[in-house]
Amino acid sequence: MVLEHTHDTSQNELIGRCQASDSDAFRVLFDRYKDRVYSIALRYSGDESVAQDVAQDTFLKLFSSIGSFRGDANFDSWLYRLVVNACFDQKRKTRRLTPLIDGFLGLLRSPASSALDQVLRSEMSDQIRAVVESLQPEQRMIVVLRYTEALSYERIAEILGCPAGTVASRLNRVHKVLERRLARLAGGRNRV
Amino acid sequence: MSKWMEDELRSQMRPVAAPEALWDKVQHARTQAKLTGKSRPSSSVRPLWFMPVCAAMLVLLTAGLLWGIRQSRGHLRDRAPLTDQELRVLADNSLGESYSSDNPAQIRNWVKSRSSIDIEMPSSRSEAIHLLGAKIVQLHGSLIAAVAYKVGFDSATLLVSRQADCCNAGASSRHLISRTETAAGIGLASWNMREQAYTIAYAGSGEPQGACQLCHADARNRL
Repeated sequence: MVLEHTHDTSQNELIGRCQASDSDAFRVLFDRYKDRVYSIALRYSGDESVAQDVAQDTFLKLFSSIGSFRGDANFDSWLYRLVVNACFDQKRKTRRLTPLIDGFLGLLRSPASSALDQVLRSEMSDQIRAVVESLQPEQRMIVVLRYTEALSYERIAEILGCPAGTVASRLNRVHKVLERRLARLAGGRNRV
Repeated sequence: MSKWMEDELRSQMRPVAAPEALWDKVQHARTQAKLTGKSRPSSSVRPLWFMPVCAAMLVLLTAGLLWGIRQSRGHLRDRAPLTDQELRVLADNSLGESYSSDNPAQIRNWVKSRSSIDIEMPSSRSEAIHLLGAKIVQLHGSLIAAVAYKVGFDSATLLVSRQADCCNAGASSRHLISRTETAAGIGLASWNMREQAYTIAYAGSGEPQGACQLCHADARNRL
């Protein structure tokens, strides 16, 4: 039976078909979660190539182990843990090339804003990326889950297996670092 | 946390769409895993070019090129240096110091006075080359010099950093391009010479070897 690519297909039915090795169901499940998995991987690694590797590993793990998934568990949380572990497993630390250049070209193609505005915005982006990339893996993942996935502290804590208070305090530390590094830029932007 | 920062974070970390090719990549890996019996294939090999030092230079590429293009947006004859305010902002942003000059000797001296980097450029060069100035930026503890210049109406940046363990430690100025790359319309060429690592980034419609005319007046004919 061919499954439609719609969200009407119930989650439990879809998972059941995947557990029965239905290849169409795998495709539907992939389409449903690919953007989420890839976004987390990209924002965590900062590198498109690494993100694709992480997403690939996540889906391979998902497809190979979905038979062990218990129906009474939360599938989203289970998938989050798979992608988080795949990110942590990715030892190679690389930085992106193409997004930087794309960003640069984007600046050149936006004549509406002033050159100084563009410099400020570009620098703001660089500073945020630099801060996020300098974080310890678990701290970086907290930022990704919070700002890419908009998850609550409690949900992040559940996925990472730590207290919600730990999530809050680590995010607070990140915010303070960012505030220190970006305050001057914000001042510059307001002056322009 | 202030709202603007929250907004910036959300904007920078926003979700993105997965590439179309991802499904094929997963399917290929599944097939390979079945054939080899591995549950998870190893990740694809990335070239050495993505090593941190080179990546750091590419971070500079963005700022260097943006700065160079900004300087030369107007008519070439009327181009003005960066304004004091822009220079101040760039300095405040930890983007390093900037120096505006079209004199290769002055640029060389300025860079040498602020770093151990020596950028030797011939005093006579192709008429197509218009020097704009230089920047010194510190990244990951290393100083990197960026020389911005024009090749006709196209923009180019030469990035140079010290690399004590690289080859060609002699005094010869001969070198071989170790890597060329084109990404999003920007040509890149890298080489090592005299314990320094060089990368030229060239964003233009002309022949990429035109950027080599900064030091090799006959580059367009020779390459």
